[in-house]
Amino acid sequence: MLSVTLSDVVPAGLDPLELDPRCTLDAMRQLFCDLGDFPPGQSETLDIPVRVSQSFVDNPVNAKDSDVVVNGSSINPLLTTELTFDNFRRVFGVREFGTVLWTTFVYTIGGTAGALVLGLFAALLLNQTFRGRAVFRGFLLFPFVAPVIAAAFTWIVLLDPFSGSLNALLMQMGAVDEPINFFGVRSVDVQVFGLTIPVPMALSVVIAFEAWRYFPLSFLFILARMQSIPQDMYEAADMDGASPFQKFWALSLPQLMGIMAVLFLLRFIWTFNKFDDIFLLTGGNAGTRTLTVQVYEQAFALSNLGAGAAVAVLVFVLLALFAAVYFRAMPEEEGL
Amino acid sequence: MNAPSRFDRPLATLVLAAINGAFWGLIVSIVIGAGLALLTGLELRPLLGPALLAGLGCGAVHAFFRRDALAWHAPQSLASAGVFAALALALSLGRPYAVTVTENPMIWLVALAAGTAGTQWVIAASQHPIRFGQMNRFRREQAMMLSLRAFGFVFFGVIVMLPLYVLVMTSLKTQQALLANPLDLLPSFENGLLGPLRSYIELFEVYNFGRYIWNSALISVATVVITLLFAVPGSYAVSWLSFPGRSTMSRSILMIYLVPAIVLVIPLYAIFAKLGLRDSLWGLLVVYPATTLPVALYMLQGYFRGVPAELEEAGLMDGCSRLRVIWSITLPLSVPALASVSLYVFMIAWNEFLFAFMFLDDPKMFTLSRGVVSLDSSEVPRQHLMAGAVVSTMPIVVIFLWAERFMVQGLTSGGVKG
Repeated sequence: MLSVTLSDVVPAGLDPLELDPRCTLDAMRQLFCDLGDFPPGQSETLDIPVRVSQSFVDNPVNAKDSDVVVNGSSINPLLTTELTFDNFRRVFGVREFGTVLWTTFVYTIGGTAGALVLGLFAALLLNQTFRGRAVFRGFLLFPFVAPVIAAAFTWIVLLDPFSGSLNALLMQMGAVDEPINFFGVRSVDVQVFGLTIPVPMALSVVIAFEAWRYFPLSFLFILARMQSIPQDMYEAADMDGASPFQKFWALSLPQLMGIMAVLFLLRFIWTFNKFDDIFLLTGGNAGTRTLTVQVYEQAFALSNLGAGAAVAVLVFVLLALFAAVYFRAMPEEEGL
Repeated sequence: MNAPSRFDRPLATLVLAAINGAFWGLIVSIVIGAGLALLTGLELRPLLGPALLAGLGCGAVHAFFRRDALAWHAPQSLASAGVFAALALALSLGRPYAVTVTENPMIWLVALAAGTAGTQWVIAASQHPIRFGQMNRFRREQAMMLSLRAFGFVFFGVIVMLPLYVLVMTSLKTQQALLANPLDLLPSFENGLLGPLRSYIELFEVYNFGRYIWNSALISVATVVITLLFAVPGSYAVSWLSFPGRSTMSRSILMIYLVPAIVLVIPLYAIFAKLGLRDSLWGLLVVYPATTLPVALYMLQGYFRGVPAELEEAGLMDGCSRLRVIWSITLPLSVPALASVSLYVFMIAWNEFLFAFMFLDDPKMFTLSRGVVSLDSSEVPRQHLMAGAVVSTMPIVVIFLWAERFMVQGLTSGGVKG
């Protein structure tokens, strides 16, 4: 900030005993201070001791009634050519960064695969006609159409360690001895055949949320593709005495591979981009900090737009890479 | 099926049926135990061991009696159901759900009857293809398929129903009541008939939710209008007119579709703060159409390509201008696509959270999402937050149910971002 100035009116009846050397007081009781240039982050307090005379006591004026006017000018940092790599060094140099990158990929792959498998399962269910099919289909879309805030807060309330129904249910069933803090614990040790395996708790729950919220989407796409598979293929298979599992492996699955690959790439990119879900569920704590949450953390929680932008640049570069893969791999006929 | 192949040994069939039965004995008793506990708030708990063994017996008995293709085997079904009930009662010492008949005869009977009927019903449905003594691979796999299918319905029913139920019911409870007994989700009417709706009333009276709904509706509708205004000519140009760089244009639409909102938030935040657009609905009106446009362009583009070129050419031959052709031929043919795009854009704008959260500070400007998030503090009781979530979900679910077919078509034709 260059040439910062401050001006205000001193109420009648108050006589300043001493003034800061940078300030002047004119006959109109106008206080004017020229504070010079401020480096970033500087703050200053001006103390002006005053003597109160009788006229002020008779006729008190709230000093806050007159607005303090502070002026100053600064160069718009967006328009200068002074560029450094400091932000990148600060953000990528720390050890924590590797963890963030790892979490991001575990979350992205887990969430994508989960949503895809659930979607395939749901599509298989709905690929037959039964009564109430349309209702069931609409019902399955609920996680996807509900606003993210509603879905996230529902999970938070449901999984709450103190007032959550799921924990209470698990305890009543005797499945656990004490409530589990699903979103607050980084990892729990699970005993399998005498081996202790640390399982990332909060991250797994966040991945489950992702799979739950987005399976309807993959389900719709897979179902649409299933319904366009020619039926005579199945009739021919029936004639040859193929069993139900054989038909699924040898006929349905190969036909669905194209759409599954496209969905995987698309969902991979969008899950990679996802911010709101984790932010609302855990705020990026307990080992769930992904790159996008890191952008927010740096830019807004730590109030360093530059560092946040540095992470955002990395997100964008990785994304461009995925998009290039997507456009390469996308078969024309599946064109979404 | 020209080759019935050799039959399985009868014992193998019994083992398969017993495993199937045991599995369903477990699943059904867990679902019924948990469901009744959530519905009534009583201390119910399924005893899993007895349920498993009872299911095992039920499945085996059921398979043993299935020798022909009769659809309804009344005596046999009664026999297997009877075996289940008897085993469940005997092995659990008369309290299959940890409640004795003297403690609460009503719930005891309901739980036992529901458990027996449920298990028997699923076993009968999944073991429908079994022919005892004449089993082959085809029938075995068919039975497994049916069992898996039944499991799918239970699974998806639970994962969608449970959160929905908890969402609605917790908005009707107080936080204290939930802390006292997290399983008792039934609304209590001790404060009058409208007692459970207290948090909804307070939302509108104290927390200004009427205003938020109005803001959200305004923004969403305006976003739909602006998006269509740009998307219709844009997608028409990309799909019908030939100009240099058309395919690049078409691909870059998809490319924008893939850029994450969080990457855009920082520059937009910096620029909007300078322009004074940050804390205003106008700012959102700039951002929302920009994020929905790629979706809309993409969906409409696919649809416009499907409109037969002959119709347009006929119109042009008859001396209509290009605009006239769009207005009176292409658009009327595209009404279903326009409807699904509008609904979808409305849904995105209504549900949007990130930009509203970042940009809006003034409670007068809050959209519904932003308003609900502002309730997420320790000073506001939880039920208000949940009521807010219900209020924000309701309109979108109603719209969705009303226009489900449009939405489903639109979603699959456009490749939808989420």
